[in-house]
Amino acid sequence: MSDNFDQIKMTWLSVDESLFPDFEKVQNEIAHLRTQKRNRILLWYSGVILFSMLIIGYVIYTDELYDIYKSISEFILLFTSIYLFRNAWKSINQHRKEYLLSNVDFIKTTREDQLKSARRQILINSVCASLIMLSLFFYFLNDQLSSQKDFLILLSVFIIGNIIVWLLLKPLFEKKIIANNKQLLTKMEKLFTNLI
Amino acid sequence: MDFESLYKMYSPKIFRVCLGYFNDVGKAKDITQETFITVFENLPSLKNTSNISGWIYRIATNKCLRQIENETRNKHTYDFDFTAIEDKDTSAKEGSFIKLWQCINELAELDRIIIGLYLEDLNQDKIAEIVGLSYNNVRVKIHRIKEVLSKKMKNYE
Repeated sequence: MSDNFDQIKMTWLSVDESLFPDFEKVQNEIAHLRTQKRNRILLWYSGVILFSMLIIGYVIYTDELYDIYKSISEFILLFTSIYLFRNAWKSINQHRKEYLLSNVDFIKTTREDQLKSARRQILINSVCASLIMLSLFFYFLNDQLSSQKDFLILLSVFIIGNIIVWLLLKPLFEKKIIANNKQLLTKMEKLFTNLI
Repeated sequence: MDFESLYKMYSPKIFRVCLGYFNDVGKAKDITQETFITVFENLPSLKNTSNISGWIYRIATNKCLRQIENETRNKHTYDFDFTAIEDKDTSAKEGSFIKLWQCINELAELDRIIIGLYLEDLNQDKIAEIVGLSYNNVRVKIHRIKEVLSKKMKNYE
């Protein structure tokens, strides 16, 4: 077996060197990725500045701060938008941690992270959708308080909207993600249990 | 050690390990490239440079394993991308390493990584650290993989 394996090793090392990836290509790819990241950061900063100018302009132009409900609506919208910007910033700077983990730990964490990260994103989207609906509810509240019928319609729309998001859309998306990841999770599970 | 020196020293080894894992030249090239991009990005923040080779192998092998995500979503059929060789002697040599990569590809995912690292002359301690298994476990696995691989190569002859 020793001779046979020495032959195997010689074959392994005899790969044609022209197949090896070129250093210049790696350098070009690094430069390209840096440009991409710089552009994403630039776009993010431009979005933040434009959004801030719009909000300041809106607050000054509409002068709705005397109305408590419209003020609450604006604050909810402002903080939801800040949170979404922060989330976008995190995704630009996200690093996948291949460089710290052994293969076994990597498989373990990838298995756990897959569903966790997808579920987290669905939860964030659901919470933000509810906050935007809440913001709209408060925005129109003062105008609808004069009539009980109008108030009930507004409240019903708000409640139905939230029911649709939390009881219909959220479970639907979660089910879709589980179905999409089932095969991957099965394979990861098999890989993990066959280690020993 | 500067990045270019690291690249020149380790890229052939990383490429061979990736080729052993995927049995696909294009994929092996992509993962090798991605590995060295990660090395480049994280090299300045690396504190312990005494085990830089282990660090690079760990990045490469984890990137190979990460491809499981893509494999299960888009089922690939892997194929060799070697240009046609007309000379008889070299075609016999080509046949040999095509057979070897096919045999390795028939092994389980982590076994492909373990044998790849072993064929690159890494000691079993280091392989155990990269893969995350105990030294004894790796020793037994290598012995078993060598037997299986030798048998498979004999069957192909």
